[in-house]
Amino acid sequence: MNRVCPEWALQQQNIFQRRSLLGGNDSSHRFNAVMSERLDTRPERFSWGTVQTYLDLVDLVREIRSGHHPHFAADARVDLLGYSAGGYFTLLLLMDNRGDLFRESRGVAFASGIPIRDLDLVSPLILDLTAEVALMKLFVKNIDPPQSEILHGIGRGSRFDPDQVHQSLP
Amino acid sequence: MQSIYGAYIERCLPCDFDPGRSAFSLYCNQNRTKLESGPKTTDVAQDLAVRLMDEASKLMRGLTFVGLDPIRGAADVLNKFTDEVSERNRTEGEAGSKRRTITRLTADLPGGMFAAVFKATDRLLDIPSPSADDVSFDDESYAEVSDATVEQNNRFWYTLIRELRTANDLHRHRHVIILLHGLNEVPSPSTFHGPTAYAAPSARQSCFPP
Repeated sequence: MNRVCPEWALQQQNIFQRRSLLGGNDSSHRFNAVMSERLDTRPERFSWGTVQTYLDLVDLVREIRSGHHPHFAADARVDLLGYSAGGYFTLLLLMDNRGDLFRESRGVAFASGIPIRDLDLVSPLILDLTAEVALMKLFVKNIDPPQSEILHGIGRGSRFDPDQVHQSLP
Repeated sequence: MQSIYGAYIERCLPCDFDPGRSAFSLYCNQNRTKLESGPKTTDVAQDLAVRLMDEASKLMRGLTFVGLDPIRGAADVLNKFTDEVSERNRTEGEAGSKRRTITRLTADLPGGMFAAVFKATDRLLDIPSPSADDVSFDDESYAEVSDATVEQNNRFWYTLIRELRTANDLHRHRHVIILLHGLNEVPSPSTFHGPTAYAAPSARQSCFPP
């Protein structure tokens, strides 16, 4: 914490002050202010963060396998250790096994695996109440499987068809 | 086994996807008012006003900097011109040469100014280059950069996997354990606006959870 650039610390403090002014916003804390504001403003960032990390890790393992990574041998074994949200991601990577990159991998997931609707994210260490409500509205109330096909991405004629949205792009 | 999530990513998210125009973002944007707790038109209008101001501010800032760049360039040219004239018209000659008289300096002034114009013109030709680099997509900074090739990563962020060795040779490890943390559980949450997100333009950074 002491290594934080003063400008970032000031920004964090400003964000915390904004979050504190929200009525009924329990568990607002300097520690969770930045994350809470980002997810409250755009809760879909949670999904995009997942996708970006997925592609980052696939790229990383591909680079290792290509022998071009300066720190790891081409035949290095890649294992995964996930906690909480990272545990979901560990399972996702192993189940998907993109390009057979994780065939020899093993994964350990801690404190993970419950349905999103049962998550309790309100904590000074995680998110404030307003941010959690925003997340739940998007991922539970509006995109709750099996009613939605958004995360499944299968089945035409469903309430949400990604192909139809792509075709409607200018 | 190809999971349903993998199938979704395969279908909807090619590696060059643009999150702002992707299906999921479009869905969220199209349903944003529905995602709010009730049809609060005033909130939407306020949000629009704020977003409008934000975008206008960004545009103005960008245009201002684009506008200021030629001024900076022109100042640079003038600076080059005056420096060149001054350099060519100093009372002190080069080391070992005789002191130049004021009369001689005055006589040399037109020639010095003429030469300075050439120097400044030469400098002028260099100016569009940085400006063009700033707005073009051909610049090296916009190219895909691997994390492993980012100097800052190798020197600072990868300290835990870098061994202390006397020589510069790198020992390649044969076992990697990727640690995936939970929500808001990075070592220092204060660094969410930190340099990892800006280590290199276009460099993909692991930032899950966001």
